[in-house]
Amino acid sequence: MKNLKKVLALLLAAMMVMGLLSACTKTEEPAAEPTQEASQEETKEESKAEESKAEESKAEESKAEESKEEEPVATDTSVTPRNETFYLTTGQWGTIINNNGFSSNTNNTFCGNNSFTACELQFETLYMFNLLKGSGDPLLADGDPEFDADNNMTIHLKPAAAWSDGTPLTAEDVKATFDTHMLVNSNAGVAYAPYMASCDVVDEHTVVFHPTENVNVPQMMNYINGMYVFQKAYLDAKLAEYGTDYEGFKNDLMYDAPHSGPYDLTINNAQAVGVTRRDTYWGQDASMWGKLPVPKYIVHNIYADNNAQANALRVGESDMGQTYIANVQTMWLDDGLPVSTYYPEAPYHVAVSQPTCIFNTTVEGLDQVAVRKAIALAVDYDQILSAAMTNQAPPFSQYPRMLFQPNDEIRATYCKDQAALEEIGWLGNDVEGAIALLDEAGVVDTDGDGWREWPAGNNLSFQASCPTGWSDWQASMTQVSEAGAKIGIQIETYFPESAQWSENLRTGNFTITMNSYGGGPSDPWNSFYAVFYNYHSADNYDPAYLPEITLGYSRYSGEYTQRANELLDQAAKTTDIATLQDIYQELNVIYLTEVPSFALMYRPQLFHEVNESVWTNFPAEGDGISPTCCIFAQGVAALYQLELVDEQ
Amino acid sequence: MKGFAKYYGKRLIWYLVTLVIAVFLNFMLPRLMPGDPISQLVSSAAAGVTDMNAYQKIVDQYTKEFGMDKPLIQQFFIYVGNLFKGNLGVSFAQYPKTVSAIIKESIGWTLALQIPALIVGWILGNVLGAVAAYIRKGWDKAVLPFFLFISNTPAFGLALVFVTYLAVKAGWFPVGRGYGSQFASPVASWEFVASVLKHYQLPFWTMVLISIGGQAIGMRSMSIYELNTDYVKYSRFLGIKDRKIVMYVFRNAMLPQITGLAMSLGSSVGGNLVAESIYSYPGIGSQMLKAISARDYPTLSACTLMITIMVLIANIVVEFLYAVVDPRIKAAQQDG
Repeated sequence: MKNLKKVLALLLAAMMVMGLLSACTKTEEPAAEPTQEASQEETKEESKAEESKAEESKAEESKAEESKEEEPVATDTSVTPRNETFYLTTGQWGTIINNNGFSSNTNNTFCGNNSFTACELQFETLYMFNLLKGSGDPLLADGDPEFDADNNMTIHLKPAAAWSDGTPLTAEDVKATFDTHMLVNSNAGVAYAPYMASCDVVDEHTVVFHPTENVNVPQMMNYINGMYVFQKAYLDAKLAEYGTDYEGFKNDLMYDAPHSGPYDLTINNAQAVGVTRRDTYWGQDASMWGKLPVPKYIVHNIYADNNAQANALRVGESDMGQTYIANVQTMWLDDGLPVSTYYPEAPYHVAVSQPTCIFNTTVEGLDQVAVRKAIALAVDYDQILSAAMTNQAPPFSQYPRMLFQPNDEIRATYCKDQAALEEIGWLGNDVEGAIALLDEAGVVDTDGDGWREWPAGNNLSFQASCPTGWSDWQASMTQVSEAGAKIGIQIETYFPESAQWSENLRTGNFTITMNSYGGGPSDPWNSFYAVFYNYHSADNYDPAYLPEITLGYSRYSGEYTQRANELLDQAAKTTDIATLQDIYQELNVIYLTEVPSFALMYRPQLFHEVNESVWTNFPAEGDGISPTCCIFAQGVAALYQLELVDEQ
Repeated sequence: MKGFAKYYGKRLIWYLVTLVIAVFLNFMLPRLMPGDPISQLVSSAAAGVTDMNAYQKIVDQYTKEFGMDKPLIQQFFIYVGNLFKGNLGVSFAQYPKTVSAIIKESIGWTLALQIPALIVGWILGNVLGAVAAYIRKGWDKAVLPFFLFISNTPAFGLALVFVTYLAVKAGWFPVGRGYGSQFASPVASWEFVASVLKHYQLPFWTMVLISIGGQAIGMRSMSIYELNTDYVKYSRFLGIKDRKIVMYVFRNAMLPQITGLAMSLGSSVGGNLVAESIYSYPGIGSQMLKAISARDYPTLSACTLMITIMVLIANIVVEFLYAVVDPRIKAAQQDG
């Protein structure tokens, strides 16, 4: 019996240790840095293997699977010294899916095509979006884009730009990338095809993008700020490998893709993803940064949720975070931690977007402008700002309500007459004004049950919905509900799971809901488009093809939408600031008088919290660097100025 | 022996029938949830798309790729056909990653945390229950109620308390994950093993502490029942040592506890949501949670199917174990 006990105890101990260690085995690792020759040889071998295997299996999807298995395994950097490693937490919630910029879903912080948050560490875009000024700074490009009278967009490339394999990055690569997106119908290809017809090479360092007849300059700006440039030779090889199996191409892992950025993807497991600096980076050239980024390693540890990320920041496991932390200022005021935000005082972060309350104006009651405006007047926005955001965004009293970001530079550029808009805008919590408006419009309570009726006999009763768990949105919808109760309009909150909410939004199955607008290179056009565009009146609307979708935009009826559509089409075709000012002024007036939707608050797109235990000299007000986590878009400039605390 | 084979033959048939029904339910139930996975996927994948036709084209691409353009019954048969090939499908939420890959990268973490914690919790709980039943006094009046209190604390609450006070404020333990930040990936070194063990403590002891009370109260009840049986009284009359008697009691009282342990081990492959989410352990539980909120049907079906199969296997093992532990059951099984 005693022996049995000992054996059992030993077995249990062994099982615990083995279990732990087995859990720590590596998952798929990215390639460290294959040479061009090696890469080509591997590609050839893969192709041969594919051919032989194809005979055994007819299933198309197996091709991608096999390719995944054949990806070279990296020798990654297992221990990263703290004083060489910059830890951050952004949106990496699980392991990487692939490193393929044409894939619909990479789940890869270091390979995210997005104009706002294009990570510029591994692959690079032509321009890097600077959210402080609302436009892009050149990265691979040399100088600003040039538009001719037909809105053809010419872009020059920096002659110094080069790939990780040492070959020069040329106009052919830019064209090949564009053509491939269109050919394989990547999500980007599908999205930009209506606006961008082709890309032509003018010379080794110059390309021209030609618009379609449906000219849309803001969308073209989105493309050049958001889309990574891939190497033509690599794309050609991959396309030859996959033939017409475009799904297989889009699902390829592409860990061996040559890239132009200063870092290589070297860490990829269930606990962390990360990159290692490549000291041959072309950006050391005087035409770009003139030096290498400071941290040798950049690691995104994977945590389960925002709370875990906030804890990591608090204890210094993470140097930078971008999640909402309620009352963030208590970290340094009460707890004395070396944590700070972009601004030392409220609102602490740079606000960009406008979480917005959307009315379904095809619903009886909400088709009445008085009802819509009354609800908007009665909402207590200060309470939303306090409850939902702990004052981490500027109030409407600081930045008057309009469809421009709360950004002085952007408003100075596009806003023609702020005073006029301020006059027709509102600050909220105006219950008396809302009641007077409803009474005047004849929307009254005739049966004495406390709820107003429209049309006669029907109580005004709506549902304000947003996804469950989105605490700031839920707090906002709760305030809308309370505002309704104060003015005799029944508004119940409804918080379904996000999958249900998304479906309702897409199919127009809502009365009052929320979405968020603002930010990016296509802004402010994009914000106006989101609020106003009525696809039912669009030229290319095909009711047989398009079901009841709203794309997250309002469902509008009413004469004003026709005029708004005309203005939006005009705005998409011009780069003339004076013309844009006139258009946006008129659209803002429609927005504030017709109230098809109304902003509930301003909000940062990315929060900015840093723990300066190890690194310091993070982006701060006045230095012109976007607070975009030091890795996204123009915010990557921060990596070139970081300093170690110990060396100060 | 013939009766033995007949008994297990019958049981196996029933298990197979259960499995077939479970496969059907695993496929259907997730799809009956309200919410459309494609809407959610497209809302992020097509962020910034402004042309309505382009948006719809992306929706159509996903619908076709996921086979959701086919009737549900056809989807079911494709699903079953793929199961026979060992293909669990492609995740919707993590498309184009396969479900097999997701499970592969998560299951190790889950088992490494779950199985030792379950076994240690089971052993400590049963010992406490037996001691509380036999010795009574402080064990029954203080220690057992304390662990019952802990067991009835919501697991996420206990985990949050541990993280807040032991990790964030006191700094005695890491706030989460499986090993230290300095290790970008696992390495063969004692420092790494030490780091793993340090990160293991909070999630492990959270799960152990939560399970002790439940195990102990069951064991206590069974032990009290056994202590009042004739064979115990007779053993005392014969002057057999208490320690020996306790061993008899413990063995007889353990039978239902073995069932509980086997069931727990079977369902352990489903992961522990609390430990995995609060302590950022990347296991199956957190994958299931993500799959539920994203309506990731293939991942959800695969995870539930895996749990089902493991619970069925656990049932079979329990039946064998019963025969080993209790000769009366073995005799009954031999009768067919």
